[in-house]
Amino acid sequence: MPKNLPFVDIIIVGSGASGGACAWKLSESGAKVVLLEQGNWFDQNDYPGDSNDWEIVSKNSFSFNPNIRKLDSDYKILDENSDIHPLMYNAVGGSTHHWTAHTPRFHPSDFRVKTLDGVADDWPISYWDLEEYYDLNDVMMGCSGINGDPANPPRSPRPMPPLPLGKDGERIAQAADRLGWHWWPSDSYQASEDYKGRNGWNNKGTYASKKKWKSIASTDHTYITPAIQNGLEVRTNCAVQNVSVDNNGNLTGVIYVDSKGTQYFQEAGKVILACNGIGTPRILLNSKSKKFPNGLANSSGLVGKNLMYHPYASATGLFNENDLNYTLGPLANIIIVQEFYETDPKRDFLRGYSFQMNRSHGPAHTALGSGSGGVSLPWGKGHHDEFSKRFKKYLGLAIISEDLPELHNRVEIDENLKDKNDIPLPKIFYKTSQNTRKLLDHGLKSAEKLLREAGSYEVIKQPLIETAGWHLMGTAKMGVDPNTSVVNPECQTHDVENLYIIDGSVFTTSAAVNPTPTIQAIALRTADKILKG
Amino acid sequence: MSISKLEINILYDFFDLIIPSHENMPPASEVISEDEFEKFLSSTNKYDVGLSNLVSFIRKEPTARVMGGPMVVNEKQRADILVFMESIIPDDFSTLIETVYLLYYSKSEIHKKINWDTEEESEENKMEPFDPSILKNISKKTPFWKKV
Repeated sequence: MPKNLPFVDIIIVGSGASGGACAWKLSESGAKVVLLEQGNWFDQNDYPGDSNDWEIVSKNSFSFNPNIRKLDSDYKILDENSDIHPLMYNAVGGSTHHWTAHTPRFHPSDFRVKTLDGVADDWPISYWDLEEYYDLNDVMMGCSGINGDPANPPRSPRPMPPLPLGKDGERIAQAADRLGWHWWPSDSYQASEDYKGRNGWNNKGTYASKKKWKSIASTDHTYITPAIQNGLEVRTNCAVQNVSVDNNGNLTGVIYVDSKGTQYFQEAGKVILACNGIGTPRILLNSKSKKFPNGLANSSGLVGKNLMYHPYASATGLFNENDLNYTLGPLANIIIVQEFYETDPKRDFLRGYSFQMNRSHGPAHTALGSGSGGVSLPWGKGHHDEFSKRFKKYLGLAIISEDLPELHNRVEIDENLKDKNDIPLPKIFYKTSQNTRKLLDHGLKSAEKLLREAGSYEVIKQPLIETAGWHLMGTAKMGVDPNTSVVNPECQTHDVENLYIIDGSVFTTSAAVNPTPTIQAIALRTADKILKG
Repeated sequence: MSISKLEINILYDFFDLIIPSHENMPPASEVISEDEFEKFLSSTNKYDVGLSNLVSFIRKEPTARVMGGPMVVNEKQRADILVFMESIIPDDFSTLIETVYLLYYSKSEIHKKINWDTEEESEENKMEPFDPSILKNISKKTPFWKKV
């Protein structure tokens, strides 16, 4: 039997991008809020930069992939049936410890894809419902950027100027100018100057730079630390087994296990799930009861369904001047190109994509394929020549595609395979669609055109980056109709009154940009709605 | 780690075929010792299955068997075995490539030779601050986001 703990007003499960933001907002009310995190606090001095072996660490214990990392805080994801491997980081701050901090917003059109293009569903909320929360989040996380982007609505002044574009960024920008294509300096939650106690990046060094890592916002610092000052309680190394309800289906709290294996029942008035697009459906599907035999909040049958990732393709351009050093600066939050963002009836696919510019990686990553379409450089006699041809001399354009929701792309649980806390593991089924394939192929052709215009003498294409499952969305869809969605526009589940979901699970559609600012805006809005009753 | 010292020794014999010397670049074995390889493998189990499969493959490979074991094959025969493994068991083969490349390109002596300087305070590694004049052309583009 679990040990009973005294009642608290609100439990938030997960302390990443959304959980941190929501916890801060709620903590301002004076409510008793407990944040449960399955990982531990993360010491920024543990970032693997600066040392000679940082590339070894980043391919092992600091891998994006929990199945490779295998830390105590990680759970295995059964992804053999997925075209793309899901990625995440488990700690206080979640995946905001392990990201490029590229932070574009959704477009207004992203919320209206059914109306505009007759595909998927419209969101029940609009860009304008989220705008004030996007603005608030940009201030809290610290956004470097500049206003005036013609591809997006005007927005509040950016708190910090953009990060340096570098000679390589300028090269791509000028090429886009010559083609008459859109480009804009990326909004980024990497600080370009000192900001709210965080040291700005000093414009020196490479992707590996520890100072660069520390200049990136993570929610343990931006949201959770101030929330603790407001009275938030954080409990680490706590893995939630299920959300509990009484015989009438009313929420009662959560059952979790701590690092010593002790099981607790935490009674609560409200529970907010913020465990990402895999962790959240995993908990819901594991929360079976007499009243909810198919898992909690799952009367629609949509919990775990409609998994969206943002499939990525990549085009890499090689440049042959002798004095290039395209390793300086952040790896990816440099320039965004949205020339092909919206549906064009002349194309054979719906919706669109963004380009995100990337730089050259370190030497081991270069040898292992980051400048050669994901294929390791040849071994043997030709190895050194191939390495010299690429090292510091390549630039990439990652094509981030809108991923339309499909029921067969899904998260299930495997009752027979469990983690150390006796929690069934998530099992992923995902296939890229024909629409996505056509979209990515168009993106690869466009990317080659831009790279050639920039002076590249050879372009290498990677049709699908299998290791790029950073964005986990759609598995507890937001909507108005309880038959076709899991949560309502306030992120409250249709089936259980005091249960909320605030991570990427609730996305109705995915847009074609990195999701974190939108996830956090939704989390802040939900907290606001809860506080206003 | 589930790989024995003998198995490590078998794999280590292939290192210089994977990264040979070239101009001023040393071969893999000159910068990675066998002990280091063993220590690296003891720090993770990521490569255990792949490398064990490779050793099994090498032991069963006809040339190695005819010659009396993998330790006595000559360089040409080892190169042939590598080509064979790469085509027959590419996933396992890639684990060996990853370990050798990671270890080789993480050595400071290699970093010096390829001019890879991660020194944060070096002025050579400094980028110029953002210059808004680069927005001159793109700023003239008419806003094209859909007002919905």
